Amino acid sequence: MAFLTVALLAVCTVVHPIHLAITEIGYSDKEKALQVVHKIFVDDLELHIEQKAKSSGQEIRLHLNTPKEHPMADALIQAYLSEHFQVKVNGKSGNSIFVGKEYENGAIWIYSEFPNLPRPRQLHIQDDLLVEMYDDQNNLVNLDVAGKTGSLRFRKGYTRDVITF
Amino acid sequence: MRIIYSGLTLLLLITGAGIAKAQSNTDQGKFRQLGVELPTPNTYRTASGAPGEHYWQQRADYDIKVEIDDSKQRLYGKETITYHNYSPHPLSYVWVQLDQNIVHPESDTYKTATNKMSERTTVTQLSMMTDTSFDGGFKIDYVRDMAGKALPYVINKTMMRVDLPTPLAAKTGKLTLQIGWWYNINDRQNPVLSADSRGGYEFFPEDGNYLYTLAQWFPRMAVYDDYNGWQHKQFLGRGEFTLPFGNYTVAITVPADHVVASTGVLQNPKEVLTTEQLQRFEASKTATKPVVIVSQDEATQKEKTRATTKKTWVYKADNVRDFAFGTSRKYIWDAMGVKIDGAPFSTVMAMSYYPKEANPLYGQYSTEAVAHTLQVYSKHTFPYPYPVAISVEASNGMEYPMICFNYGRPEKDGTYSDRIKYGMLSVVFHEVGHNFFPMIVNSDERQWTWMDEGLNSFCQFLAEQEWQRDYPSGSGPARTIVPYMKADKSVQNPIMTNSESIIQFGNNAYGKPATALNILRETVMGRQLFDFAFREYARRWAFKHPTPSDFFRTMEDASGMDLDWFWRGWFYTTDNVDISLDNVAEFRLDTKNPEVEKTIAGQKAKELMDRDVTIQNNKRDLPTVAVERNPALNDFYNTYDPNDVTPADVQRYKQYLASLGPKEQEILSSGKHFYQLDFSNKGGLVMPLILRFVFEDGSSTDRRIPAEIWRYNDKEVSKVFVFDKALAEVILDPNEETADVDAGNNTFPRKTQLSRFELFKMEGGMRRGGGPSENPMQQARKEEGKN
Repeated sequence: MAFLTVALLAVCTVVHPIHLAITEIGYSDKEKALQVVHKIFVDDLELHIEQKAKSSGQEIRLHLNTPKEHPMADALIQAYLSEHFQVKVNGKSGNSIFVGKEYENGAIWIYSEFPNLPRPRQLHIQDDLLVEMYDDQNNLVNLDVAGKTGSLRFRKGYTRDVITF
Repeated sequence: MRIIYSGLTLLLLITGAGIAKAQSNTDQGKFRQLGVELPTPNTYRTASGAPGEHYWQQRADYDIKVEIDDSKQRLYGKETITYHNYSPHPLSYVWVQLDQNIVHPESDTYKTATNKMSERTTVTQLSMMTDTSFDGGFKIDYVRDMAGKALPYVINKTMMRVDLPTPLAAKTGKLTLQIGWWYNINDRQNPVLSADSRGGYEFFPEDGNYLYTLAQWFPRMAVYDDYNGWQHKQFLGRGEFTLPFGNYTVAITVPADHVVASTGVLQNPKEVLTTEQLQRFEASKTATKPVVIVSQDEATQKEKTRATTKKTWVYKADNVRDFAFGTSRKYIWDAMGVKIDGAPFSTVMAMSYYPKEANPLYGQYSTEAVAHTLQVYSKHTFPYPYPVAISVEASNGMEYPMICFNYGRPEKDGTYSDRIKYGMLSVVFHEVGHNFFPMIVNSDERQWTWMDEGLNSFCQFLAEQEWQRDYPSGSGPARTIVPYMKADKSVQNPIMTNSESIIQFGNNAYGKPATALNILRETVMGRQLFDFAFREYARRWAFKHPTPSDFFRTMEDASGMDLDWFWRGWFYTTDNVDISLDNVAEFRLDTKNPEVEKTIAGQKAKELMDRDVTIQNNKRDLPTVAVERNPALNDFYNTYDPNDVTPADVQRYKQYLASLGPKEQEILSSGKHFYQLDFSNKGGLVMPLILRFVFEDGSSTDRRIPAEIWRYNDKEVSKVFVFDKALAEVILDPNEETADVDAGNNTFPRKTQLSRFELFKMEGGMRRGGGPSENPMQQARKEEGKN
């Protein structure tokens, strides 16, 4: 997987809010795992997780990247991700593990691993991150798997796709 | 030069793997001129990118009386529009923009919104599908001519056509329109009405007060120009605005305890301000830091009562393309006079209006940020030509002439994260910056969003870097664009495509134009050439309506650089930058000196023998061989070593040296190293080659090669570099200036690049990212508390 240069992105949401998330997917032969990195605007992720909780009657404030960060933040983020980002490798469903998170200028980088998966010959992706609240959400997925690179742009109305290698 | 090289030959010493591939004809014409893509120059817009001798534009002056009903959240207005037809065409109808109609119950915005039911549909989504109860949109009471006679009009959603009984004459026609209207002000926080939340009210339940920010609040003339005719694409919420310039006089009637923030200069301060406020306002004109005119205490007190009488604030603004204002009894107001070199107004008032919920952040920073923006932008474009620049906190981010609505509210305890702080500063820089692009350099936002957003985001980056050296800028530095440009071309759209239906996350969204301009400035053109050309563009088109070709042409015209390859690549395609340093091959000069050359050859021969497995094993296993046992089997060739230096060799060498001129002798003995570097263009965009050569002794040197090196072959290129010292490593784009999406092929010899994921795990991921990181402000307070 090519080296990803560190990217900074301020929360420059003027009245053209940027509804964009980027996901990089790679596969490690050594670990036999799919390695996924999501880059999402902190505000957008907070909004979605808090709204989802609200609609089931809970009042949560995440306060990500502040001293008041919710003690269950990682679990809540993981729950959101596993619901809205799913993969199947060669027909077998993957279960993701939360590896960690980092913050950078209004964006959160979330590291996920899908262990015990064979080298992908076929990859099913379902990506409907942040689409509930934002009609114009774009989710870029950059793949660098099994020697093949490519990108998909998921959005409302197009949240599933299959890649064959 | 010809003479020197005829006497010398090169000895090949290949250190790298592989040899440059044979070239095929791969000319895609990346350097071909942007001829057919740009409109033909004419007398309105010249080939040099300047307004032509017959350039024309329309003008619309407004005299408006408006009243805000704080009990019903309604706006009532009456206006007299004087529309000047300076075009060479007679007009039999005119178009007027009715942007409020976007929240009309029958609006296309609701009709064309797509949605689906799912098990997880939220209450919000349900209301978005079902709730059309808000009675929004303009209620037009009358459209009349100067004499008061009704004029026929037709409303097409957000556009109104007024049909004229006699056509408006070309060049000299003057039309007076009188329009009366009212509308229900929308709740900006209602997601159903989110299509246009640029203006409206915000209700504060704790004190029961409304804060109004009024935008697109009056029927406004559409632009009629030379390349579009009428610009009357429907307002759907995303594509923004363009309007003709003109003079405004606006009388704003609000509750007597409201404070108004508005475009323009207040004409009747004595009637609407208290003596105390007047004094403070006067003092602020010469102050060197912001002076509070209405304090937080005073505003908080006012929140508790409701005035029953009204006041009218009268404003005048000259040469503006729009008019907006905010009003509330909650406003805190501070101001500071700013001096800008060369500006028509000797003092420009930088002012901020904000509810207490925005303190302490706004009190400390807003007006200073306004002043800073004016200074930096003026330096890079033209001296700010208006008398006033205002920042209003309204949980928003939108720009109007001389006034903008911004965001950035701290937590209730007054602390804030760095995210909020820098977000607030950035939005103020950005929105105030919009005064320059597009309020004064009046490009068509509905058609070319990037012309104002891209240029403004770039200038915003300059302002940020001049505010603080390590400012966490979002767009600007080339490397910030990499994750987006890495994405495959098939999922992106070029900056120069224009359509509301294509989801343009490109242009203004991730600052691609802003980054492109920064690359032009820092890497392609250099600051001197860029700054001059950029300023030239801004000055040529201030108070006029430029198009993309005017910008492209001006930048070239004023700098003397052919930039068509750059515009074509960055603005017309979705190619990215991925230049690969494929190979570095070393060449050493054959000195022809037998002492040197034969010794080297002899060493090489010996090395080969020493590596040969059979020879080495035989030395061990065979005590003797045939020619060693039997001298009769030896002849001349058994002792002849072609690498021995003979007197004949020396003689030949002396003769050769004598045949060379002094310059040639110098090169021969210089011991220089020749390196051939092979590059290939994998991403599509051609860019300058910036190379760092690191030598074996640890020193390094940088070289910059202009992009024109790719002009004969934009897929592969080779170049030879000569050095006195031996190279250890070559790095392409060491400072990450070109937005190269793959650093993995930029070094030679190759370095293993870890993925971001691997890097995170290696550095003990969980530990690093696991817990909440400290908001420095609260941590500092905690520390103080301990001590």
